[in-house]
Amino acid sequence: MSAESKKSPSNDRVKIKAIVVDDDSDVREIFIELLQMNDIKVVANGINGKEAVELYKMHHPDFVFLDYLMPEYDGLYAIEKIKEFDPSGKIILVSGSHFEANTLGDTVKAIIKKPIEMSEIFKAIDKILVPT
Amino acid sequence: MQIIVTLQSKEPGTKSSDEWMVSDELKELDAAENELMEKERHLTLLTNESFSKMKEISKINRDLQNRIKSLQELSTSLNRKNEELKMANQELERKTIHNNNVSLELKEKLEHVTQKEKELSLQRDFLAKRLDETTQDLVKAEKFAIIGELSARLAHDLRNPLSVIKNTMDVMSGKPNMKIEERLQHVARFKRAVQRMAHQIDDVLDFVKKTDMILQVTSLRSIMESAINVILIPPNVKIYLPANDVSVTCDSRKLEAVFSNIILNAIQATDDNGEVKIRMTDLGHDVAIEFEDSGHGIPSTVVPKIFDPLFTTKQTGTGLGLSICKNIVEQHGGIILVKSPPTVFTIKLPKNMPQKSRIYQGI
Repeated sequence: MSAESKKSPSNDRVKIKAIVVDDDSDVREIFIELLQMNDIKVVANGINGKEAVELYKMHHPDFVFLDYLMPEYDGLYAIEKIKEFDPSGKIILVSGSHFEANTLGDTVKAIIKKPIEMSEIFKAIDKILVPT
Repeated sequence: MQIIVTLQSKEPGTKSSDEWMVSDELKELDAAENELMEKERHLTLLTNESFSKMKEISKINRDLQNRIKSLQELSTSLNRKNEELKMANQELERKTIHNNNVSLELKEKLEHVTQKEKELSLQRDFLAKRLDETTQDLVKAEKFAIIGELSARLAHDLRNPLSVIKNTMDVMSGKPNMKIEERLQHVARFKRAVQRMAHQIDDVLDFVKKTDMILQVTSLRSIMESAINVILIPPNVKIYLPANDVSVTCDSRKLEAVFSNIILNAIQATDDNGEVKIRMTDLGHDVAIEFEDSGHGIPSTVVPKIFDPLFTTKQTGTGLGLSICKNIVEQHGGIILVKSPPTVFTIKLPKNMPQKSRIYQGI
């Protein structure tokens, strides 16, 4: 648990439901553990873009933590399909690649670069939740 | 003439007895006359004879003349023929001279052509060199493009294990009183992350930095055996090594990397359940090594790209493995091919590597 998350556990954050999609099992598992430690409920996880869409339709999460470069169905596939299904979907792209903001559409609310820094995840979540 | 003879013989008889003398003389005259007549006949005969002889001679003469004439004609004709021959000869001589001239001219032209050929050959060599240089430039440019892509890929791939390390640290520091089992789980994660990073860096370095070949005649089977030794073979995968063996001049360390890479791919293709058969065929000058797996095969869209650097279908991987294999095989003057399904990787190596391919240019 990072220092920041201990200091300011937002009440809103406790209720957050999320799905995590990453093809790398070690990245995915430890990230999920870290999110759960910080009171974010990870309801499901998957390994590619197709699974991301299926899990989104099934669980209607508040957030999708989505990797970009994945085999067969990549992050872009998931971004487009989730937007089709739910234009108000909130995707946080978590990737090792570099992206220009605004090129991925408005369902991508934040881009977090690996290695994942929890304080950045919280900053992004707070920023998305405050205006709504 | 007869009268003159008669008068001469009559004159001396008149002085003795006339009648006797006359009759004697007459007899003598008659005899003379007869003799004369005889002579005359003889003469006439002779005349006739000579006449006919003359006639004959004249005929012979005519014949001779004719012959002479025909001989003359023959001679003329021969002369003419001779003249013709002479002319033909002259013509021939002229033609020979002409031919000689033509021959000389041809010789000159041939020399010219040879010269031109030499020039063309020089030009061709020059162009070939230019082409080589341009190709090298292009290859270099392409290599730089690959380096760019490679760095991006490497950065991306290192970020994943880095993220694992960071997040594991976060989790561990958030749970100071973690149970030993859980702790060990996290330690294992650290280990994997570090290994992956090291592996990725090695791969990239192997790809970028081509080391010199250390050549030695080595048994291919022994290289296969040591390649298999470094691989963790899943319990449900059976690997069949070839029964025969062939020795080749090669860098055994590099070939071992190729074999283990291909065998590892083959094992993964079987989903850790199946078999990998390795065959070896002695082709005399070359040797063919085949790796066949019982997996589902490679999609036809993937086959043409399979040896491209950075191409991968795996969740983790640099996409350099088969590209490195191809480089190493080519460094040995060989070729690597793939066919699917069933997936068969074929490596063809010359037993004695051609000298020129020993020099290898890296990036």
